[in-house]
Amino acid sequence: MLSKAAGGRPAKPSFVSYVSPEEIHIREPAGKEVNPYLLPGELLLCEASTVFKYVQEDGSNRGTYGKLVCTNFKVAFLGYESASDDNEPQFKNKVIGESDITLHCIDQIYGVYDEKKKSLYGQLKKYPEKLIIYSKDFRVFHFCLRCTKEEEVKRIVSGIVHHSQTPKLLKRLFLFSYASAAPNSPDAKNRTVMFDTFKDWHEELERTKGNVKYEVVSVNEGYRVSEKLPLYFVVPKSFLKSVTESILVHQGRGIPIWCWSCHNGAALLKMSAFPKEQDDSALQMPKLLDGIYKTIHAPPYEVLKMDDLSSSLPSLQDIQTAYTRFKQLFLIDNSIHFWDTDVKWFSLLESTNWLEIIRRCLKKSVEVVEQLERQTTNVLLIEENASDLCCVISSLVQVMMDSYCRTKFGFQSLIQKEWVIGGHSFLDRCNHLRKSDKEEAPVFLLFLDCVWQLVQQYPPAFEFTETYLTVLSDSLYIPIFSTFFFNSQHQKDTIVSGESHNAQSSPFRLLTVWDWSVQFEPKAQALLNNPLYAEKPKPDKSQRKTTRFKHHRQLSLPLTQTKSSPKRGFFREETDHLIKNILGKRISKLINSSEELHSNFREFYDSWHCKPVDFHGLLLPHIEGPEIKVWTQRYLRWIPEAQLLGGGTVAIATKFLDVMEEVQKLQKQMDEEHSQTAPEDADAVPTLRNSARLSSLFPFALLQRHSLKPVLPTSTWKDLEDEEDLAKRDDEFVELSGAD
Amino acid sequence: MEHIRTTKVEQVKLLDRFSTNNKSLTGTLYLTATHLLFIDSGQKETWILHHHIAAVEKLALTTSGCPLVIQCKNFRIVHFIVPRERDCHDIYNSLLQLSRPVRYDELYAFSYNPKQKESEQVKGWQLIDLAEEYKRMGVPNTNWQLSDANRDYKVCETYPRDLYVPRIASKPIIVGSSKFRSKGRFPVLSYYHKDKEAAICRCSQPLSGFSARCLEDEHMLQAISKANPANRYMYVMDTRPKLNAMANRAAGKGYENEDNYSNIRFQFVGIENIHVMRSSLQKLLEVSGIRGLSVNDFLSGLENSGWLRHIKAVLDAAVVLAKAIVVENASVLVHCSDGWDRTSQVCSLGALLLDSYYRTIKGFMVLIEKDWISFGHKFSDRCCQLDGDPKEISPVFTQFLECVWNLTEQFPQAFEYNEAFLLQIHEHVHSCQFGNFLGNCQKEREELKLREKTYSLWPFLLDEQKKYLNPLYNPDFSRKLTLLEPNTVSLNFKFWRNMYHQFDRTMHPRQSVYNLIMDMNEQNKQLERDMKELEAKIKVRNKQQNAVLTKEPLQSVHPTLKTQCFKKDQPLLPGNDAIRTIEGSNTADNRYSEYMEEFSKAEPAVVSLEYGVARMTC
Repeated sequence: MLSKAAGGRPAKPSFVSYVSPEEIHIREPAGKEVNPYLLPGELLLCEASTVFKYVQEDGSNRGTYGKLVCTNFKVAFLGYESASDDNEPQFKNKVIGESDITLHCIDQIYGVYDEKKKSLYGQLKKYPEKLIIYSKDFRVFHFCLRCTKEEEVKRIVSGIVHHSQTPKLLKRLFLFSYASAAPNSPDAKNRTVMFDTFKDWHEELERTKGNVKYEVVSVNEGYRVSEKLPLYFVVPKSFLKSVTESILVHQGRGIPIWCWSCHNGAALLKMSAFPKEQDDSALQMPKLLDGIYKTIHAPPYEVLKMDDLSSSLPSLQDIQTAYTRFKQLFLIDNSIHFWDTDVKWFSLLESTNWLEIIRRCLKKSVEVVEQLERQTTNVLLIEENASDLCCVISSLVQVMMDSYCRTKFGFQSLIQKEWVIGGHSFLDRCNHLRKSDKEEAPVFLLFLDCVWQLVQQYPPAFEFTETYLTVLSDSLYIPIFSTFFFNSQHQKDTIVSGESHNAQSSPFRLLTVWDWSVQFEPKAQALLNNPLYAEKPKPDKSQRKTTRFKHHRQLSLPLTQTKSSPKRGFFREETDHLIKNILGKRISKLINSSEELHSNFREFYDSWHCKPVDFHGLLLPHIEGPEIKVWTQRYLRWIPEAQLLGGGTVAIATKFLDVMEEVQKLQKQMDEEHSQTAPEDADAVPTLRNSARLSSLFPFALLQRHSLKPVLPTSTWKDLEDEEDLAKRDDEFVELSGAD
Repeated sequence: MEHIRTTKVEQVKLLDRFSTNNKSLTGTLYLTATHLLFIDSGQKETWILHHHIAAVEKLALTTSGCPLVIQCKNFRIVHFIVPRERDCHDIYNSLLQLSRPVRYDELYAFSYNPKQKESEQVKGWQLIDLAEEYKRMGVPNTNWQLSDANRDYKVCETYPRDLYVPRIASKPIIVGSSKFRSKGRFPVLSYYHKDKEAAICRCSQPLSGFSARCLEDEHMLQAISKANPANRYMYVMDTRPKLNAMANRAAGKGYENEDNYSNIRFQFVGIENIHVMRSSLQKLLEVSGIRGLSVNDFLSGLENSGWLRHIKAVLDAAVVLAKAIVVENASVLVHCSDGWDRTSQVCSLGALLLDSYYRTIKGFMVLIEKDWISFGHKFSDRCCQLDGDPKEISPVFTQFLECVWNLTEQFPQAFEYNEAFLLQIHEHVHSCQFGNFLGNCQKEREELKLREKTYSLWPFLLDEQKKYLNPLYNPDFSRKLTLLEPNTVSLNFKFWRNMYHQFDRTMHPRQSVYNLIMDMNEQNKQLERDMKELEAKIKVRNKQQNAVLTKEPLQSVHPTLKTQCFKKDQPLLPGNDAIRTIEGSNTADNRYSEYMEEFSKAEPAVVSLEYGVARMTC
């Protein structure tokens, strides 16, 4: 039923006007009523007619008239002139139309009063003549309200401001009205592991062969231990037996939770630290913790190293500031604004610090990989709630080390495991409810950007494309999927059970974002899959045996394993550090002297980069400054000034698709020939899509006409440069023979 | 030979400049008449041509030995540690001498012998024929003709003998105009656009000072605009910043006064001079040479160096030029100061945007031969082929290649050649191994008798063109003479890692997507061949049986196909034919093949992909 969204798809700007809006005599579209297409459960809140939407603010005043509506789901613009269907975009979202912005996707709203731009919030006294909306997926909309009736202006502007900017109750999220109104669709079989059952965790343990030393526990059933922790999680086998119930008092703090096991048995764990003010219990804690860590340090567990992410990575505050500055570079009001930023592009980019934060996360992950892979130590990531940077680092480590996480389903399962069930506070971090700006931080986007860096460095290693990541980042703001709209599994479970209790009907089912057919037709979904990806070849049986054998050996000789005595002394000392650390007394560089760590890491990094890459093996990103790039597809896709006609990475991607199509066609031909049904003249030329002239903004923005551009852009930056003194310029004159 | 004192030093260490670990390679260093050779314990050879050496430095003695740092013109930096100071000193002195030849005949090109017959050598030099190229453009024609004014290099020493000028420009006008232009470089045809009948012309700055005029020169420009029937206006593009041009006026040079010339539109473009470019690249190299460079340091370094801004300025100028021709049908006259650096850049890039022929391998050679070599870009001075004035050195040609590379990045389907081709050309511009780039102008080259004494690079590149093919090239991408429109927004310009870090192993992606596509292409071709073969077999069988075809034989054929395509895996890997033939007996600067060799040994991923493809195709 969602596929019918096309009916309500706002018209493309087919009505082009070259005169300013006021000069146009507006004919009331009396005969023609445009109605928004509403999703189940979606309510029309307010609307305004004869709103003029600019194609793009380039000073040309081109655009279309239409109706601006605000529902409890989105703000949408509906053009009066319906577009002809022949230039239907290839890649279309079934839920969100081209001129739709979900309420959660609205980033900033500005009003223009007498050519002055002012941010709109709260109660408005004066209503603007122009409305500018920046969306979180980097679109910028300009609406002119001069021809709209004053009453309607008041209603629509305050409506949009109110519904998108003011705090909301969780129960008021669109997702609930959608879920209760939408007919219960049969649960599509999805291969993504959701990690909400005991079995899912158990299978993950088996898959990574972590079941030898770790086990799934169900102590948190009914959220008895903590509301932050998932229902089921994995801990070291002997752990629960060795600790007294007292540990459970602390809301799950101090429990080392398993994330993933490396092929050599080393595991990645995470743990939430105790808040720093916990002074009263401080006295008994060392004793308690000492006991715990003695058990998990002793064989068969590997030596444990811990990493307090709050001291080695930027704070959430830094991340938020960097991203706020960074995104502003891509929210372009008009061409003039664009050319201004172009002049000092690299220093602007530098000043945001966003790319450097990405580099630091990647670097940290490589360090953790080194400890797991080469030193065979367990790594324990510590963070206050173990649900922000812990998620970033642990997921990145898994993407780098576990080729399963580079498949589409593997990646989705990873996000389920570490982020959704792992308790990342999506609701707070994305500020979906507009409750507090303080909690907002684009941690998940940071992770996606890091993954994008890996994807662009090693495209054949991933089953998905950058378009997949871009679409995933957009889905963060579509409130019909439950995936990114809760702080924890507990929050979701309580509210869902409460709601269905009220409804008295069959328990409603919330959609997950992983069902891509909700958003895209199969043809569009093809763009999410990487044609260059080849599945992992099945290992030889002999090979498999040897790895198993290794494992067994480790198993059978746990006690005699040669962890030499100096190391034991070493980790004893470490325990002390750990305890101090847990108690919130920050110890700067712990464990290894940073020098040693650094050189270990460098050596590992360099030696890996000297060897050929196995796309199904360990994958380390390049982390030199020049290699960290701007995710152009996500950030630049709506900026016509940045487009390349017939160029860009899209040209390569579509070429791949062409080749793949050709291959498939040939195969079909061969099959037919094989079964002897095909006629003799089977040499039909495969129909290639015309990839040659696609714009680099494909598949997002439509092919745009050439943007106006200064004839000589060089002159603009010249002016801004410090005027060098003429004497220096004279060298041309002095060296006439030399200077050409 | 007289410079070489020590020919062999053992126990020398080679350090990697980007890895911090001290796992250096130990080996033996040899000094030959033409190369410095290092063979490590793994028998891997590193050849460094003396002509490639830009600077040698001896650092302070350390406990492990005497460090010797060599910087090359192709951006290789090697760091040796020689155990004994004496050896180090000998090598240092020898290299100082060897890397700075004084006379042309000391250059490698005069001793290089690829064991070719004389006829092949002659044929090689005839491969690129500029007269042929002008014919391809459509000149001479009713408006343009070949002038014999410079037959004996009498009018302009730094121009080629054959020049094309408007038919109505008489010899006195040519001579008069040349007297009014710096170095006698009067306006001549560089590129003729057949469809638009508009031309790109080039010259040097006029000797106008503050008020001087020259009627012949004015006539000359008028002749050029009249030679274009579609638009009587023409553009005069001064590629310099306005300030520089104004400074030149004081020395009696300067720029055209729009009032004195009828029908011209004058415009400055603002590309900086060779000295600014040189120091800009220096800054860039300093930044990119930092170990463990952070993003912020890189970005601010990049911004401060201004390098990409200069690249952008050059490309912007080329876009303006190309648009003037395609959109306005106007002819354009390009000049800078002497018309051999910025003018060459802008004219050649403009032509590259206009004409898809220059985006083919052969066409690119023609373009370089025409706009750079024949019109007297001072390769010898700019690349420091002989020991000369260091202020003459400037990466002007490198910049041109970088502009082209940026275009190939923006339009992956538009170019027949790949990055390796550009890098190889860059390599040989500095190597002095072939005669093409020696000297500063055609006259000098003729005096050196290069055609008899040395070899031309182009036939060697053509022979191995398989390496330089862009797998994504789509000849139908743009029809003939359609404009390529690059986007010159700053964020579209990238740092050219494979140029500036071409020898830094750890900085490279080891398996490029391009290689994968190359493999797939090869594989497909092989499969097609197999299919044809099998079809032929089936036909033969059918004839033999002379009866209704049963399913049986076909089914038996199918499995064979499968096994065959798996067998093909081996020879299809790139770089197995890595040993380069171009060097003749030695394999100096075997940059690309080195990677190939190293990384083609065991590449499970490639194999698996091939499996994937094979499975799909079978």
